[in-house]
Amino acid sequence: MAYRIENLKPLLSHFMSRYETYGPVRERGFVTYQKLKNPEEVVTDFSVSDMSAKALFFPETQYVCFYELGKDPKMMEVKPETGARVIFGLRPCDIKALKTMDLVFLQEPALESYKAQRDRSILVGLACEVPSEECFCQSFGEMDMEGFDILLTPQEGCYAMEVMTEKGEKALEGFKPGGDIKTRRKAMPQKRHIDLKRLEELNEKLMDDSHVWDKLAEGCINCRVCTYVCPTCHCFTITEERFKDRGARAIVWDSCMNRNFTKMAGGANPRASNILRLKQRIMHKFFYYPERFNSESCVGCGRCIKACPMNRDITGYIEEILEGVTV
Amino acid sequence: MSEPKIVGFLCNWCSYAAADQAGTARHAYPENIRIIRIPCSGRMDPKLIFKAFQEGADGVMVAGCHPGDCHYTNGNYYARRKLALTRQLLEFMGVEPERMRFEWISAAEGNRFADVVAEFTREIKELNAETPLKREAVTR
Amino acid sequence: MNSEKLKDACMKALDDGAEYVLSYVEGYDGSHPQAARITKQNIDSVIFDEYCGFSLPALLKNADKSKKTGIVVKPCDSRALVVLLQENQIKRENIKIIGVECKGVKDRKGKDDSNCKGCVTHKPVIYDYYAEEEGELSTDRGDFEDVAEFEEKDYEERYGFWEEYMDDCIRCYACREACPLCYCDECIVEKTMPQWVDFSVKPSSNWMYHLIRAFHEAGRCVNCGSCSRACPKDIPLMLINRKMASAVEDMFGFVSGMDIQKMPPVITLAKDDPDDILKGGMGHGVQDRELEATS
Repeated sequence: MAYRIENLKPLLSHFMSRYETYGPVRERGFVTYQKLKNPEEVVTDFSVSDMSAKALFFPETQYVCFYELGKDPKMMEVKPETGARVIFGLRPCDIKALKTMDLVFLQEPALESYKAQRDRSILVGLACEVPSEECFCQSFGEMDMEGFDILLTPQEGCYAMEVMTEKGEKALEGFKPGGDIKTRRKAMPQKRHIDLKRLEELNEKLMDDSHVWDKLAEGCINCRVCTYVCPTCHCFTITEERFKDRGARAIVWDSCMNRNFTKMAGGANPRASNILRLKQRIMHKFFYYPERFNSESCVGCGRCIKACPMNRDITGYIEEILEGVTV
Repeated sequence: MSEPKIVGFLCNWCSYAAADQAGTARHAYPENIRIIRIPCSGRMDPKLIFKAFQEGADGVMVAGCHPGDCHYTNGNYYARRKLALTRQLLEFMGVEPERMRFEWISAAEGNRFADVVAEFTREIKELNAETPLKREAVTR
Repeated sequence: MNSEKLKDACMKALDDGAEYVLSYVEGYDGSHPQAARITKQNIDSVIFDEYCGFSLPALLKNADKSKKTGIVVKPCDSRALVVLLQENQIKRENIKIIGVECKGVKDRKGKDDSNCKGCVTHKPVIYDYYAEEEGELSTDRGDFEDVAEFEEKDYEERYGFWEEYMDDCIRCYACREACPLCYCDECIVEKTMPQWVDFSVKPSSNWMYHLIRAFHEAGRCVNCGSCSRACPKDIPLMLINRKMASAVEDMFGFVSGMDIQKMPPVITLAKDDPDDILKGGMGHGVQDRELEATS
């Protein structure tokens, strides 16, 4: 059973009065998840945010330790964040993306900062009303809403609020929602679709040896934007910074599409060509990850398609692969 | 601002000699300037100016031989072009013009060197904004 | 526009020995063309219209340079080829250039690209084959009005303007990869011995990266707009690059990529550059000079 919510503002005000709250905000035409200063900032007239909520759990730069040299050298580890926070307005594909990243980062030994952010976040989902031009989440089957603590479904001029976990219930203490309402989620026809079943049946060795990758890489300039807007891409590098007698070590985002991502000391670079890098990206999303974790690491959000400056399309790639590789 | 940090790139043959001469003649100039000796102003790289600002410099000075008198014949002609474009770029991005000082100072102009440094230091002190581009460990 | 003329030109290039032609092709819908290697098998997918904004010479970075390649270039992209030839990145005998006239392109949002207002020439400057545009082509030179307008701000305002964008930048380096002229195997901002720029994403290192890139483009940038187009955060990178182009033109009378014999000013010298350029002047007294029209 769900509760009726007429207007989001009282709900947001309730959260903001108790917790650090993040939500979708539009700045210079882009929708991103930012810390909210007032409930009016939140926008809901978007399908998929331009930058994903990945940065709230796995930031572009996170310092892991600081050190001081000199007579009394010290090393200070950065403590993970504590204190509950609310993340409002995540889409179902966003929660799927988080669960996908969990498979890597929560594996023992877990990445502490990521675990802390996951543990302290109360996830309030917002089911989609209309698909974006690019998204294709339904290719992966019906959307699994598990993982949200609270889920809002827009319907007929109001929202149906489902409380899905104890965490969500606790966050709503003191909030008076409306009466009971039945949740109705509409089916949304999407413009794009990939034939996941046929893809899964492809022989991996055939994929590896195929020359379909040469064709796909023809129009790609290796700009890496796809990996930066992707909600599941999590490649990173570790960097050291020195400030005279102090220093810091940080985890920063990197990308498998980086020309020098696989360059080693000595100069060898196994993925020196764009063809190999593109192959790695697609195979990782649709073959290596499922092999390891039983889950694709693509959620069908379509951000990469929207952001690509060369207008490449991952669903087009899958079609080409299915055509080109099936013997 | 209190005691700005100024970095001065001086070419070995003319400007550095001028600084030496100022010292020998006991012509005092403010100690805010930290001098880096380069073989020729032509070696000057805009990245070095950006890096100086990154590491906390409030102002950067570059000095070389007068055009026509370069020890390496034409290094300073290249320098003139690079430095002119660097100034245009930094000013466009909002760095005040007072923060950059590009001069031709010959080995005989020790007094002038001291005067230029004193004037430059004074101008920087009058700016009250924080150093632009300074690097720190920061997260969003 | 003139897709048929372009197809003919591509066919000629293939007949004359090009192994393939890098060209714009139909994409997933009418407003999203893509790039592909054209051979006689897929020549019918060649297209050229106002949505073909992205630059093709950037694909040469990944191409096998020993092969004879054809490439379709808009006028700005043809200027990029001139610069690449000057810098020995491609061999003239290995490249078959198909020049296309251009009336301006749309940006990623489907509006007229504001960068086209600064267009230097609507006709390709170097080509082996030519594809005309329908109708009259303007011979007016684009101006630097956006730069002049920006320079009316005072220093604090300018810094505030760029500070906002430098806070936003995520260092994806799409601008660098999209640029046809950023071809270094290992970019200086990703070097570690010595390390010039911190890898971490923070305003000070974002500033450093953009300043270095702007300076490396000074006197070379051809106004193709690929950097601004690729940026996922819509940072107005072309404003900086156009400022440098304007400064280079004012001070040294040089426009990049127009004449293969003329070398860029940053690697050349002149004994008579006026000294006032060191103090912020524009030298040569050419600030009021009418920008030369192209014929």
